[in-house]
Formats: sequence, C-alpha cells, structure tokens
Amino acid sequence: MKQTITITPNSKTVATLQKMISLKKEYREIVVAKVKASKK
Amino acid sequence: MFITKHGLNYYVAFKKMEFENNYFQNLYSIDFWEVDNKKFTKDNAIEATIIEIIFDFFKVFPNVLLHYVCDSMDNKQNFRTKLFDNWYNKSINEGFSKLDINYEIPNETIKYKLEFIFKSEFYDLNEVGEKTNSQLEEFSSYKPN
Repeated sequence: MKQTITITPNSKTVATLQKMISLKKEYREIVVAKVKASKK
Repeated sequence: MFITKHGLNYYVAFKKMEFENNYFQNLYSIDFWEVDNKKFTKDNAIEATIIEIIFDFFKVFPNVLLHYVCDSMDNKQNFRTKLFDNWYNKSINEGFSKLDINYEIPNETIKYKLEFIFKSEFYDLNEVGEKTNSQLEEFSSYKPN
C-alpha cells in the first residue's frame, strides 16, 4: 500500500523538521570522516 | 559507498534512531549523497544501486521502519521522490508499504518531506502516520530543563 498525505505544520513542527535535517547533515560529516579514517 | 562510472563518490548511510517510544524502536534513517558535491550527471545506475542497497538492508533487517527526511532547499527532491517511488514500484509484490508526508507552509516556498518504507506485516500504514504526527508534536512541545 502507498499513501501520501499533506499537512500544514505549525511553527514548532517545522522547527523539529529543521532539527532532523540538521542532524542528518551532521551525521553525513561523521560518516565521511569515518570512511576516510578507515582508508588511512 | 560506491563510485559511479563518471567517478562520483556516493555514500549511502543507515542510522538507528534512538527513541524512548517503543513504537519507534526499529526506526532507521536512510541518507544518500554525492560526497564532493560535483555536478550531477544523469546516470540510471545510481538509482538502481541505491535501490538494491535498500533491498539488501531489508533482507538483513526485515522489521525496520525506514525513513527519509528532506527539505526542498537543494532542488533534488524530484530525484529523491522518483527514487523512492521506483523502489516502491519494484517492491510491489514483496509486501512493502510506503508513506509520504508532505509538510507545506502557506506562503512559503520551502517544503519538508518525510518518507517511510516498511514491511506491511510489521507496521500499519495509518498507524505509522498517526504515531509520527504525535511524536513530532511531542518533540515540538519538548522544553529542555
């Protein structure tokens, strides 16, 4: 099954989503650093 | 990590999300990106490779709730949406469900998106949506001491 829903978020939910995206970007840097370290 | 025929270095990462909420105890995030931010070159093998990696992940961890979060800032949302839709179309007979939640703010150009993919035998589509919204509300109300 597949479902798509659209929500109008309040400002607090937007802040949570922004935080999730920010954490995702931080984790990218951690992953890249780990891979580079493993190649040395 | 994989390297494309055009020499681009792609990373695919899964991360277990730590929640006190038992419903999300097997929640993982998936992320993929081109590490050097080189100009995107159309290459169908990129999508095919990421799709295979997602299938392999579910072979090892069949009961996970896999999610992807993004905004529209980098103008790559069409590629991501198409990738996950194609993944779902290829998995149509394998008991998967897919939930897309679009967050649209009136008079704002930026949009946010949460996508979930999971095995239907472990999660109910409506319940995932309800639990996600209540969890986001809980985070929204959270005030650190």
